[in-house]
Amino acid sequence: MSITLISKEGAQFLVSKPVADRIGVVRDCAYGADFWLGYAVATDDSMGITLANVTSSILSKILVWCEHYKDMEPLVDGDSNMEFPEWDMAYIGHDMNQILFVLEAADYLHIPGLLLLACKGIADVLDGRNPRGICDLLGIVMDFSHRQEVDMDKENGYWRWFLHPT
Amino acid sequence: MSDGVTPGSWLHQFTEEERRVWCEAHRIARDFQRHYWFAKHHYTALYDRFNALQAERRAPVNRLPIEVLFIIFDLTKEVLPNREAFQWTLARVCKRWRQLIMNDPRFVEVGPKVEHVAPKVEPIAPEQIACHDD
Repeated sequence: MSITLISKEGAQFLVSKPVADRIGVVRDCAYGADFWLGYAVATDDSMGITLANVTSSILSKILVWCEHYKDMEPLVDGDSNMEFPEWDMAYIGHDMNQILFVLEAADYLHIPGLLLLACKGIADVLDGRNPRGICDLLGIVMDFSHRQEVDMDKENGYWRWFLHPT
Repeated sequence: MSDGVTPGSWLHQFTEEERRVWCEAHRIARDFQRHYWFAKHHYTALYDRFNALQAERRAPVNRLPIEVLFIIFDLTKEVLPNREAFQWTLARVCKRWRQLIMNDPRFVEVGPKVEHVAPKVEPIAPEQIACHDD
């Protein structure tokens, strides 16, 4: 059995059931109604499931991950120093824009394993950076006034911690 | 006015026309204050929304929901320069991140710090004691 996924641009992806099972939204669309209605709504191949917020390039990238984890259980929870497999880290890479799009799509499609992996990818790119570096990397505007920065220096003892970590 | 009582004096009695003018002026001032209050909040909300849209356009990370941001914050604990104070690095990135960090008890200890130390009392010097019987 297979399911057709339709991306934002209208491109169609034919995926098998174990691959589609990794995507929470698709799983709910295809089989989730089974419990309530007594039958599955989207098991017919002719009717695809439209994923309106996911572009073709990102969807194809996500399907690679789903294909890899169709037989294995991905890491979905853990503490801050958990170790991901090497394949995962090579898959997510270091391209920040790409990771952010994957992260948005994983959140939209309800894929907790991929969401956690993308968060780990972002955290690894932020490795060893100071606030200014994080802003430059993510495109965030540091919107504090000078007075606020001075106050923050005082109240947190920030630079003492930053320069002389204990 | 003929007896020398000025309008500032408490003895002054307004004529009907003066009273009408003063009431009208107060009504206009009150309505202006109310209108200004609503307009200020209205434009502040519009301005904030516009800024948020600009920020989302500029940086895709601003589109992420806060629960995803918190996952990222948790995972940066190991990679940011100081493991014990990583939240202060994140809290200096932008106002939104600072608000999220400072309002979350996982990152910041909330509540006043109470020092369980008895208040220090200075000993009384003998020359400070005055004896009125002398």
